[in-house]
Amino acid sequence: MNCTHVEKLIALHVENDLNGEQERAVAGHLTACPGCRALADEYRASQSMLRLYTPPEFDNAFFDGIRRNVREQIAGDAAPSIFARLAHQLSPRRMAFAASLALLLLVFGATALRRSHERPQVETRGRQLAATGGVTPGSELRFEHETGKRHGREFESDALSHSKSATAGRNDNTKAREALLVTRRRSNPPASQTEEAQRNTPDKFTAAPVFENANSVVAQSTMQVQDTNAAEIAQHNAAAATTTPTLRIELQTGDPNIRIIWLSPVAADSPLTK
Amino acid sequence: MAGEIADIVLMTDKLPQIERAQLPEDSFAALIARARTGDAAAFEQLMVCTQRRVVSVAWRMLGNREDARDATQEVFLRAYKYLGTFKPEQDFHGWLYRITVNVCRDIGRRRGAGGHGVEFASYESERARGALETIAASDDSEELAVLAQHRRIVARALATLPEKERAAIVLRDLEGLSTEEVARALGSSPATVRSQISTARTKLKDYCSRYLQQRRQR
Repeated sequence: MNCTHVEKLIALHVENDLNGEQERAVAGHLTACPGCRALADEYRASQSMLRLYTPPEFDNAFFDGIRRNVREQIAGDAAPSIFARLAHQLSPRRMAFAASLALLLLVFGATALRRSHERPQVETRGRQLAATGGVTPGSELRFEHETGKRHGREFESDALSHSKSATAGRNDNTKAREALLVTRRRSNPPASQTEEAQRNTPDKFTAAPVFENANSVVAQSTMQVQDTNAAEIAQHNAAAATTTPTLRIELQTGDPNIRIIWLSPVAADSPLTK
Repeated sequence: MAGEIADIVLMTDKLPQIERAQLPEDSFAALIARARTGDAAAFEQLMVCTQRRVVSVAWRMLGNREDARDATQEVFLRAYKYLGTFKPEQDFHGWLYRITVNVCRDIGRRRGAGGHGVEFASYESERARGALETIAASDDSEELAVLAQHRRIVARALATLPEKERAAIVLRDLEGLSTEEVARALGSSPATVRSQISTARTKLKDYCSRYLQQRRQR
């Protein structure tokens, strides 16, 4: 074992912290090497100085004060809170009842808050749509839900299945794409306009094939359709399917979940029907 | 240098040992068991049995009386709080040492933001504490001054060590714990503790050697 190796072990050797083999090797080297022996003496001297570092004498008052502070702190932490005292006074049965009641109140409150948050949005958006145009006075604005696919593909009206899903309480987190559609129905068309004029001037909607990013149309994002609307949709589709041909114009907005379908009755002898 | 230190060692051999409350091992285990159930008197007795040991380590780690007092209080509060997690087969003193080291580390870090520092023992305080009363040559002022100066040097040297090295050398060389006990207290392996001790002793040796070399040159 050379001096370089021994120098690294002397710090442990002076306090007998080496294992048997290392201890014998270092001890043997020290007997033959005065330089390493002097180094070992330095280590022993500093260790002796270290042992001079004893704490001062602390009297009983010092320790009594420590224990008193600890006792006071423990007693202070152990003071029961108002909830703990209340829980202690109530029987387990009453505690369970109170906990159940609190839970029910929480659930009802959360549900009520959520519903109150949704309805104003529907009404507000309806008013916005009426105010921004695309709807002439006297027209009827209807909100429809249609089960469909992403933009670029045709939406299929499925009012009946939709009414079922609405009843089941589907929301915008469902996998099937739902698009909120705005249909415009002329309940009282102006008498001065011809049917062709009505047909060709659909107010402020642009009659065009389905295309992307129809930002001129304002629509509401996904929302739940009320059951009453589902019945109206079914009625409208049934009437449109059985009586007169209907011009169907679909507009895809920038939101892939929103597609606007404009349905307009067309005269039987109109060129559009051919 | 060896001759100077040898004289001081002879004087300190006669320093009185600090007495600690000792209980038979089975009584101590029963005390711990009662304290775990919430027996306040039992916990009080536990504090009496271990307070000097905790204060000693805290003082050596932090270097001043006020921090040592604060650390000791915090150690016992944590011990009370976590006594339920103490397993009867564990070594209670080792468990308490671990809490003490952690508390001293926390206080030392807070002290970095402004707190007490290492207090250096003066010649007058050394006489006042009565630790030197058994020294044969009690009128030898120079020897007492040298002793006080050496304590200051050691305090400074320990203060320069990183927390873990300081804790390792205090527990091993001053508190007398084995390497394995130190490892359990520090949450390290024995090999790591040996490395930390070796480094700490080397730094201490270099610090003391420089001081003694300067003293010889005067």
